[in-house]
Amino acid sequence: MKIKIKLFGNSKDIFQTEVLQINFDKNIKVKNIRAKLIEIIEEKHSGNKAYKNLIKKSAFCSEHDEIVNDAYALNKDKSITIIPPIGGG
Amino acid sequence: MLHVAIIDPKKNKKKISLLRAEKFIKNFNAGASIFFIGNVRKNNNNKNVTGISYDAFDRLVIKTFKKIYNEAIKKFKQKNAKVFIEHAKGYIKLGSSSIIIAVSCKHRSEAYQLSRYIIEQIKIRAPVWKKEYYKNKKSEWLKGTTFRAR
Repeated sequence: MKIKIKLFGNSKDIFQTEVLQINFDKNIKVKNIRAKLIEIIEEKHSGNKAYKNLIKKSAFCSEHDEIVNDAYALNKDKSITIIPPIGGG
Repeated sequence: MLHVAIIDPKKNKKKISLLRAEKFIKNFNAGASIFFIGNVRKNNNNKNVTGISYDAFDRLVIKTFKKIYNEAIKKFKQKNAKVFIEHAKGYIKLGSSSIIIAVSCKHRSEAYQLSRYIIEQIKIRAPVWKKEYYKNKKSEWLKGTTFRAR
């Protein structure tokens, strides 16, 4: 199952792209996506603590533009958006 | 009545505009107009700022602005207020404006309240991210407020 993760703010710099596509073996939840992103940071950024903290503090937003928690399930090919800590104005 | 927009000067070929704001909120029944303008300032955390790049989740920002407006007019009982919100996106240089919030109401007290409520809520709820650029050529994403566990 292919999941599209739209990135914003600092997360674009960390993953060097605006959209990440990750394959998962089975139906997954937001907590699995969070864990996968941390895994990528472990591999590509030698476990950079600041980057991992950013992912831990980030929220996720569904295709319906609702903030969802870690238990939110993505049961087919879907996209989700990461919302790192915000600071507009 | 509400106007909201995210404006990227490069893509939209225009900037957020005080003139547009003034025109939109003009109302002969309103005795008070308040204009809040957020600008890119020279110094932040003892660093010499040359500009800020704004990233925004446009769709959710617009939804959030509308939600905040609806809350505000209900909270302060100002259904006839006119509110104009424009937020900049992309690179904004030192001294330029990143946000304009304009409000017109019957009386000044409510106009101040509405304007203040809207900017304070935007700061903590609108999905916008800031990357500061400094005189020493370095840049940094600002820390911000987390949405998680809300």
